[in-house]
Amino acid sequence: MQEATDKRGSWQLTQENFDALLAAFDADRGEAGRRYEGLRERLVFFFNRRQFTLADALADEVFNRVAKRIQEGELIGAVEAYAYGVARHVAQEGVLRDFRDQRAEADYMGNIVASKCTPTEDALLAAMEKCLEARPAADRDLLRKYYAARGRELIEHRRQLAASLKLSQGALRKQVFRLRNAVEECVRSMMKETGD
Amino acid sequence: MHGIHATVDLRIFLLKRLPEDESASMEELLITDEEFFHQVQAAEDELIEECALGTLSPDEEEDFLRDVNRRPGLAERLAVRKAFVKALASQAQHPVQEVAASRSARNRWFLVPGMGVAASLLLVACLLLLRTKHDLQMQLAQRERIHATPVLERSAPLSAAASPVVATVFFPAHAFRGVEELTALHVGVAPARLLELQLEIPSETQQSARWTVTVTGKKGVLLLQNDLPAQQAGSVSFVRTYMDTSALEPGQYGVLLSAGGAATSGERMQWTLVASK
Repeated sequence: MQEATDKRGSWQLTQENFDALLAAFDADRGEAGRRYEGLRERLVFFFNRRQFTLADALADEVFNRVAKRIQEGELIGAVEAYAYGVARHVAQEGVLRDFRDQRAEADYMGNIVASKCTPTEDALLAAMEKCLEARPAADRDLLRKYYAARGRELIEHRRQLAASLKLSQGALRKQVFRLRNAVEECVRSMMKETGD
Repeated sequence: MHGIHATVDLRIFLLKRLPEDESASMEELLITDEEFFHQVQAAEDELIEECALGTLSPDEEEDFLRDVNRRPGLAERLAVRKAFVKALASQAQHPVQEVAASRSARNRWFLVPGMGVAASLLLVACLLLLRTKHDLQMQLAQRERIHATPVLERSAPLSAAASPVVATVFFPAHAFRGVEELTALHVGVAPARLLELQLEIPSETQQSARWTVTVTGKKGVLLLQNDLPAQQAGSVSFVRTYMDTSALEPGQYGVLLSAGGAATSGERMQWTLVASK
């Protein structure tokens, strides 16, 4: 088996024990990969929700620890449930407070790319209008109508809109969700390009 | 298993109002149950939506914003959604081109002068118009075909060290139809599209007695004005110059403000002039 420690003696994930980790999810590698990615997304959400800055790094730390247990011969039935226990432990560990911005050492944080500032409202609005303009007129029209009402009128307005389009309210909501995601994704891409 | 949680529970969970043990059981589900996770994501999206629409109750909003302030990713999603809602609301109220005009009125870029200043601006613009009468007549026909709307907005910084952050600016030139709008925005756009550019010098920037403004497009330098004085209005310093935008085609143009007499020296800031149909 490939040595799984680095020069400092820290345990490192190798291809071999990563394969073992995937196999613990499912014998089918494709399904295992899907479950791995899904669990990783949920772990990131978990750590984000707990307001850790480096949620991605902590999610990977959970996987490292699970893989280490597997390498040590521990039999893991449900990887997701096991990972939850590890995630709680990781979150509780005092040493991982170092992952938080305010408690990290200066030289450690100096090696981390600073997170981008939230774009200015005007910059966002400008990008949003460009992205909306890039959509077909019918899409823009639907979004405008969907968001035209406020307050108490909102529910009735959207019910009527769905009826006028001969859609169920759920179908309308999904359609708007899809369009909105596309527009918001366009804005995020644009903000990345402009470095905002 | 996830079905036992109603939407209201998810909101309470996301707003961090659940007791520790209940919250822990929700977290376990979040990790172990993919479908439940999607429900939580949808509930969080709903909170973002309602916050952007201003329909959260004050208590909910307080709890949600407390979380937002500690989670940069969530803050970014909320900012994008607010912009989405705002852009749609603006477009629903005004024709598309008027939206840009209304927004530009909010930019602090432009000082708000009195009517006398506006009249002076028009006078300067008219003088410049006379000087370039022939060219402008030729370009007028071209402008009618292009219907370009010059927009000035900040581009990506030239470099982290030399490019202070400045506001976004829009020049929806053809929207300036009346003196009132001209006064409010303090952007001089004469009938033949002489555009007055006022580039604010951020207070944190190295100060200089003379400034250079360069406007470049795909075909090279369109405007180069050296030795422009810094002007003062209240606490705001700015550099003013004029350019003829009637021949601009849709596209991006760099607007460079540099300290000193030459564009290659001094502190540099860059904006992008976008002309679009």
